[in-house]
Amino acid sequence: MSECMFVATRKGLFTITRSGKRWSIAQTNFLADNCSLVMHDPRDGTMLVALGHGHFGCKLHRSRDGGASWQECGAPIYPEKPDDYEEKPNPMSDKVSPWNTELIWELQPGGPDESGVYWCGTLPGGLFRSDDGGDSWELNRTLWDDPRRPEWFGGGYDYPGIHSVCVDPRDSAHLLVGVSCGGVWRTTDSGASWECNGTGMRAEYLPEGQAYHPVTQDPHILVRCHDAPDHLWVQHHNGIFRSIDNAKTWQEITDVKPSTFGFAVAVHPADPNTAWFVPAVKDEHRIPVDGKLVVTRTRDGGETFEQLTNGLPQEHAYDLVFRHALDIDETGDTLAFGSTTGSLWVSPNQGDAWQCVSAHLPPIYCVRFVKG
Amino acid sequence: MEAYFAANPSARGYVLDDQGGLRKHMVIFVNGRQITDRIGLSDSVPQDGLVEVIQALSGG
Repeated sequence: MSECMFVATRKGLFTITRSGKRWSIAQTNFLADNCSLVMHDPRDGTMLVALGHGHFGCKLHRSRDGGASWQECGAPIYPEKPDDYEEKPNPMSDKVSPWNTELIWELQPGGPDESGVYWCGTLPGGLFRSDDGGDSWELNRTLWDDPRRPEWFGGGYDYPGIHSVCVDPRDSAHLLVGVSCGGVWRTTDSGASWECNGTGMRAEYLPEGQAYHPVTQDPHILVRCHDAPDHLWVQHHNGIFRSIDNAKTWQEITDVKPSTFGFAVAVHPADPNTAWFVPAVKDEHRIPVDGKLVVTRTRDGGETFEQLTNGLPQEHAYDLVFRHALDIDETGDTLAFGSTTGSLWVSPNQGDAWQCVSAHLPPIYCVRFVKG
Repeated sequence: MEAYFAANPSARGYVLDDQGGLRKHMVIFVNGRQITDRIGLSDSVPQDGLVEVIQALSGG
C-alpha cells in the first residue's frame, strides 16, 4: 500500500503521508502559489510541479529528494511565431491561439527506457518534450503544425489544451494524447507523425452529422491500464467511453447511475475491467447529483456500476473533482481524490470506504501517489 | 530591459511572455508614463530615463 501522495492545489503543494491507517498532511510547499499539477517519476523519484503565476506566467520546479527541496527548472516556452505563419482562428470562438504557455496541463515521464524524457501538455494545445530531465523543453512542431489543429477548440478555457499523455509501456515511441477539445491523437514514432482516427466517441455539442468527428471530441481525461495497455478509459464531456483495442475504436457506456458526466477516471493497474469515476449532474450543472457525493465503480468493463458512498457526504455536498484529482496506487487498492471545495478523501479498499483527510484545503487540481 | 535580462536571465520569462510581449498583468512606466507598445516594447527611453516594471493589482 502506498504511504505518500502529493496534492497540487490553488494555494500550494501538500505532501500527505500514511501512518498506520491514518493519512495526514506532512509537509507544505509553494504556499499561496497556484500549483496546477504535480508529477512523480516512478523511474527515479524525480518530481515536477507546475506553477501558474497569475502575473509571471507558468513555471516548473523540480525536486530530486522526494519533495524536501525544490529548484526552478526550464519551462515550456513556445518558439517565436514566424511573421508569415498563418494561424487560423478557431471556428467556434473565432479566436487565434496565442503562441504562449497559458497553462501547464499535463506532465508525464517518458518510457522506462527513456531516462530524462518528460512530456508536457499545455494550453493552448502545444505538446512539449524534454530530453534532459526538465532543464529544457521543445515544442512538438509536427502536432502543432498539423492542418487539423485549427479544428480544436476550448471547452472550459478559451483555448484547447493537452491534458493527457499515455505512453505505451510496451513501446516508448507509442503515445496517445488527449485534447480538450481535439480528440485522442496517436504517434508511433515519438511524435514525428500523428494520426487521429479513433471512432466511436460522440460529441453531443455538435450538429447532427458531425457528432462522431474524431478531431472535435472532448475527452476530459484518458487513462491506460498498466498491465493491459490496449485497454483505455475516457471520461468524456458526453459520458464514459472505453477502448479495448488501443484507442482504435471506442464504446460508449450510457446506463450509469447517478450520471455519466464528470472529469476524472482511474483504472485498476492490473484489471482493465475495473475503473472508478466521480460523477456530477451534467455539463450545465457541475455539482454532485442531489448534493450527494458518490464514486462509481465498475468491475466488469462497464456492464454494471456500483455507487460507493461509505464515508462520503450524502447531503449538501457540492464537491466537483477535476480531471487530474483522482488517482490509484500501484497495488490497485488505495484510491484518493480531491475536490474543488478543498476536501481530500482516501480509500484503502478500492472505494468501499473513504476517510476524509481534510475538508479545508484550497481547491484541488491534482492528486498523485508516489509510485515506483 | 535587455541589459537587465542579460544579467538576470530568469527574469525575462517573468516579465515577458513567450513572444517577448509584456505579460498582461505587468506594466512598465518610463519616467512615470505608461508605455503604449506592450507587444514590441518600442516606446523610447530618454537618456537617464527611469524605467519602472510593476505587477498589476490583479490576482486571487
